[in-house]
Amino acid sequence: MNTKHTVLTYLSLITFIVLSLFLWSCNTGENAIFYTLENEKRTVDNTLPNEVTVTGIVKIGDYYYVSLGAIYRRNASNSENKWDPITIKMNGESSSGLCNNLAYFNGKLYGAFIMDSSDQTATSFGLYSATVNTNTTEIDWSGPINIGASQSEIQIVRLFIVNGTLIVITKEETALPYNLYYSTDGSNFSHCATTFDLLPNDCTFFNSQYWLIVGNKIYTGNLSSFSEISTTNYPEGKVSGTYFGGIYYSSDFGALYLSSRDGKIFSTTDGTTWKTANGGEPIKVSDKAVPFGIFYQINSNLMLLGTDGYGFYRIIGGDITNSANIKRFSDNTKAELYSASVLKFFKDPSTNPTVIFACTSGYGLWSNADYSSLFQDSSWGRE
Amino acid sequence: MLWKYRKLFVVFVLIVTVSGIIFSESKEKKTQTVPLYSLGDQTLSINGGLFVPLFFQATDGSVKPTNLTPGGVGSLKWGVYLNGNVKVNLEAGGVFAFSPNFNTLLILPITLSGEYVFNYFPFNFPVYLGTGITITRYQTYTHVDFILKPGLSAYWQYNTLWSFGINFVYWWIFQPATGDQPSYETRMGNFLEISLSALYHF
Repeated sequence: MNTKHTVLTYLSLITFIVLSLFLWSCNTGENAIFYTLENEKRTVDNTLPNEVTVTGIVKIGDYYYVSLGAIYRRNASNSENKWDPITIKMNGESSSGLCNNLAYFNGKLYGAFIMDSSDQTATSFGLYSATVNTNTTEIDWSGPINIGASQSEIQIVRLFIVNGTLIVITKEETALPYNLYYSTDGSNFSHCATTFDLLPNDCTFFNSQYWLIVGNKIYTGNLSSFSEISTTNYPEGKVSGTYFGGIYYSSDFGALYLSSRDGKIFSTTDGTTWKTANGGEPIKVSDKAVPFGIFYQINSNLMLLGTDGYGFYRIIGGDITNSANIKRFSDNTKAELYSASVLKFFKDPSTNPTVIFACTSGYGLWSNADYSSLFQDSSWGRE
Repeated sequence: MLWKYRKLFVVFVLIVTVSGIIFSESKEKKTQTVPLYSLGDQTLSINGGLFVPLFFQATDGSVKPTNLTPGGVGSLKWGVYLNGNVKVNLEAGGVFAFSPNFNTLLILPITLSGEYVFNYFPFNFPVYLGTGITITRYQTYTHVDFILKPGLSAYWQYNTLWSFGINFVYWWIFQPATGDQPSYETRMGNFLEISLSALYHF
């Protein structure tokens, strides 16, 4: 009898637990998982290595060239999308240099390189240029280019092309380690008088001035020197700890856009009066502010905004005050892109439809050859 | 709509849990051997094996592909005898399988089951019906759903303490469109578990 009583107690308890769980849950969830799985398609994956950081991409002739330490290329119209490694030569001799940035400027390819000495005891750096012969998979680089600093001791950390000017950011062993050099022809470089304690993260040209974001500061200038903008000209709602992620002037939208690492997006048409996205509050995912990065204009209606760890966002129509215009890349079945840090975007307008690339940190290169106004998130594939 | 399912579920669970008591009053068939266990005896089994995604079904009856690879399943099941042939069990486990892009689907069911054991010493053949909830996790998505698990097993009784066997369990998971989801996204997941068991009596 005692045993029977115990059993019935167990049964009552189990019944209570299960019913409680069921009534508590009773089919909850905001996304239909089975439906999502049913519609998931295998992501196209071309031959470029996947677990790599893609630091640069350019198009020369019919070929895309990307830097990920090594350099690869593929034919833009190659249906097999096969990527070929590029043999690197430096001044006619074989080299094992690693390329950490690419830029195509004034008909030449520019690459920032890191090289170990032959006995592996020293590391040198340099900016090199090459006239690319697309008939071969070999690039013979010339350099290092004398940009006005001791070549072997400075590391080139950023290459920007802004307003027809090649801008080179270097890191040197000084108290203010970040220096800016610039050139309008790719051969003769000038040194900016202003040096920076933090990495200049992005640069754009607006209102007849270059705008530079460095940590939590905004600088303007004419490249020969920069000065921080007046405190009163910073966006309202920007707190002192706000680090900026990207700055971009969109001629299509007629506004300067600014993103921050704490989830905010700003825009201005005059450089002093700022509009804010999301009512000035950080845009969040799972209660964490999205660290925004660089902007990239796709067409007259669409701009992309990279993030650090949350893929990218679309900004439609340029009006950031309307939250409906700012949408995150939505296909989380492409987990690596959905949670990627997007370093750069690139579009190839000569293709129809326009092909778009997203360079990620650690998750390779992604492309979308069907990026129409319908925003085909499911069409992204991995190169 | 959901209230309708809740009521059905509550009725079902009550049927399952009292079935043992009803069965315990019934006579055993003469063709079976005398059971070794009786009211109050308990079991604990560990199960592991293959999880086979079969198909999804929409509410209009159409069958859809799961796009999942075969996966793995594991569970712990605690049971108590109501008489020599009838048991009730509480089971918790987990399943994994992969999507076309090798993203991992996780299903964590918690179920209560009623079980009838056919005894043919040294073999036992339990048939059972379980019900409960599943917590389904995929990427950033989580869904809590209703599950039915009918199944049958075959055990070889090594001694009075240990049995070893194989299980065939059908999983039916009802995943309705909830929240802002459009109703056409409702799916019923159909899966098959084929697993091995080690069962301890105490």
